[in-house]
Amino acid sequence: VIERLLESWLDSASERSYQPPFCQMLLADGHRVVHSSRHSAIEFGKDIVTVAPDGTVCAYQLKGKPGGRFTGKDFQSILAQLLQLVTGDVSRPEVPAGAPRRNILVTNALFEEEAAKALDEFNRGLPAGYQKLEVLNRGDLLDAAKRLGMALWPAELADANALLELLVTDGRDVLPLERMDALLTSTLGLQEDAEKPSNESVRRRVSSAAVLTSIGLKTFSEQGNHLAVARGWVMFATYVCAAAARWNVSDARLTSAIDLAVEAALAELAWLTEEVRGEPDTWDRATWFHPLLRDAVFTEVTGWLSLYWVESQRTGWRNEDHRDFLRSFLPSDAQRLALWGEGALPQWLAWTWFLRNTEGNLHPEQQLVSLLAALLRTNGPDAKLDPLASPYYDVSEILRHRLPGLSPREEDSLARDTAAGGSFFVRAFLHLVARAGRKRTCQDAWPEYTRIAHREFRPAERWRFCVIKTGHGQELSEHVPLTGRWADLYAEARNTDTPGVPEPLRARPFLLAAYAMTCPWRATSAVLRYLSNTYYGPAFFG
Amino acid sequence: MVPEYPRIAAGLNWCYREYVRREVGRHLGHLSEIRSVLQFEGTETVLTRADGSRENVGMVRIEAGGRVFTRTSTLDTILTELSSLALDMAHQQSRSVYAAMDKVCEESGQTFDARGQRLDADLFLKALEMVEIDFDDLGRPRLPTLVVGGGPDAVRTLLSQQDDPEVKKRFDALISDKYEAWRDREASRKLAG
Repeated sequence: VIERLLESWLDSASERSYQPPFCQMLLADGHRVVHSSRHSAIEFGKDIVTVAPDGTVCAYQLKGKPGGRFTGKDFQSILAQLLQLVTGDVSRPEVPAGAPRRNILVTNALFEEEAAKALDEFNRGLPAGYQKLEVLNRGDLLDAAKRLGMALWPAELADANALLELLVTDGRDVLPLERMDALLTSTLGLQEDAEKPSNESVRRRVSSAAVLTSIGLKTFSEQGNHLAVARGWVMFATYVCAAAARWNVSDARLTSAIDLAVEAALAELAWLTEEVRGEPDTWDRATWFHPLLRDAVFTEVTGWLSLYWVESQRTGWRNEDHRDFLRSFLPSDAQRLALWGEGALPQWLAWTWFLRNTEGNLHPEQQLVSLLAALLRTNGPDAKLDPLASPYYDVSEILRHRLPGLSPREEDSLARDTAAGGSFFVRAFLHLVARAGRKRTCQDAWPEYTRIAHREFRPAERWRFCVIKTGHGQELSEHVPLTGRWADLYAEARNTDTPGVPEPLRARPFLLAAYAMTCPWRATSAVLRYLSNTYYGPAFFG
Repeated sequence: MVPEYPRIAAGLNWCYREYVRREVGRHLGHLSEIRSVLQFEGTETVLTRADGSRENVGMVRIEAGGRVFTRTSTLDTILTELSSLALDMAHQQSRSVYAAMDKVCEESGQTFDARGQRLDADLFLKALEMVEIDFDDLGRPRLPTLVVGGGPDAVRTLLSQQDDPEVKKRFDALISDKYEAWRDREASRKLAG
């Protein structure tokens, strides 16, 4: 079944969607990936640059032709790019000077005889001293994927079902986290009763999981559902962090696998930016049929693209055009943003990071104060307003609760779950306001703050933080002492330690923030303080 | 195999579960008014109170069984059987809630052994003295719910004393003290420094 699925996926994949797993296959073969980016201008014809185990520098250009044949005409149409691929230098610090070189055209199509002739002519016409162009086609890619370890792929029916269930999900919908969880848990050996695998087995499982993730995200990729695909790669990366932490494996291959997945998620955000830029009046048309849904999607897009903006600002822009475009696209006020539940708060917070990076005034700080005030107003034990539902609910569940006729036979657990009197985020937002040195605001907020139970889930082991839900751990529900001291609050607010977060995740703020937006119940006060320190700036020094 | 009509079965299954849930709520009476909070992960909650005291609250399994669907069952017998299951579950749930309350009261010294004495105004006021009472914005006390076992007879004496001027005076004095305590408590909600 899996082999058929693999063929079907490969035959329908664009070069965008098979680039991440192809990189993971190269990693599995011992390559060091030194460049992989599709969301910037192609680096002189090279989509991927690796250093092979024998030190050879390999430059790849990927061409997707879903379900097709690569003809001589196709070859002729990309001659200029191929010439750049073969003749251009690879001037990267990671590449040893004078290293032997290979140039490879990769396609998921069948390479026709005419194309083979054109390739032969191309190579014969190359000036002396340049390495010939090689081709990896559909058959080679299939063999490589199978070689990765079919034996490690889901063999049990239940595991194969996890993949099949993902594949039958409507690609226009949100990513079903539970189905991704089932797929990654079984592939990476994270089941409760799993025995410790060898380090090599963990590495092979990671490579297999990367290919399965690509297959599982197929319908979402086909629909251009960038946020769903980005979330898929974020989950893959956090689950690899979980495997590394659980089995105590730490090496360059796992690190590269995580980094490539992060890069794939960033690429999706870059493409989303392109889509929004290309269709400014219609990009969100499909959500116009309900105002809450429309505004929730706008909030979600604002959150993710704000994160893309601040991360690019921190680590360097892959596409300079996006900087200016997003500055004009992302909202400067909260008018169109929806606070539909606590699950939206990480998205709002990312937006305040963007504001902080683009506005030199008190506006971002005032947004933090407003969010704190909103939480105190809605989630106090005697609040007159509807409380913000816990972050375990997404916007579709909120809508189902508000509009019972939508799906009358689905369980409305929100009806039995009281959010009044408790909050997963009020502590974090008090801390973020305190970090800004707003002592008076904190003093005003304090009486209401003491009435609210501060909730947080603490997984029993670190690796469990990286999986979407776990049966092992404690939920903390804390009322703070009635009388507090500013000095203590401020000290706590400045603390950027993240106990319970595995180091590979902490070391990648983008991944941690993206995970917090994917699973907002993992956005603890410690996580948000740390991320705000990275993206919003250090605490006010008072 | 014979057709199993899975979609119809799933719909009916949902209806039956809803029925049981509502029946449980009905049998729980005032206990169903207690706010419930769902826990999505883990098997334990650690409560930390404002005074710093902590309590680990684990999960309690509540289950009931019976033969609901048989070859001869009618809709009436199905609903009767489901209602009986719901009653069983409600009993287990209320026993569990009262056991938890007993434990907390015992640990915090809020129990009073009446040694078999009949519930009267004196006993009631002594018990009320031990309870923290909050007030609303208009200064009205939010009095706790009184749960008494033994049926209407058990509260007959207490009810007959409620208009007694002496009892009323003691009650008003107690509420006045509680109001002062509440005001002190509210005034202490501050961030100093």
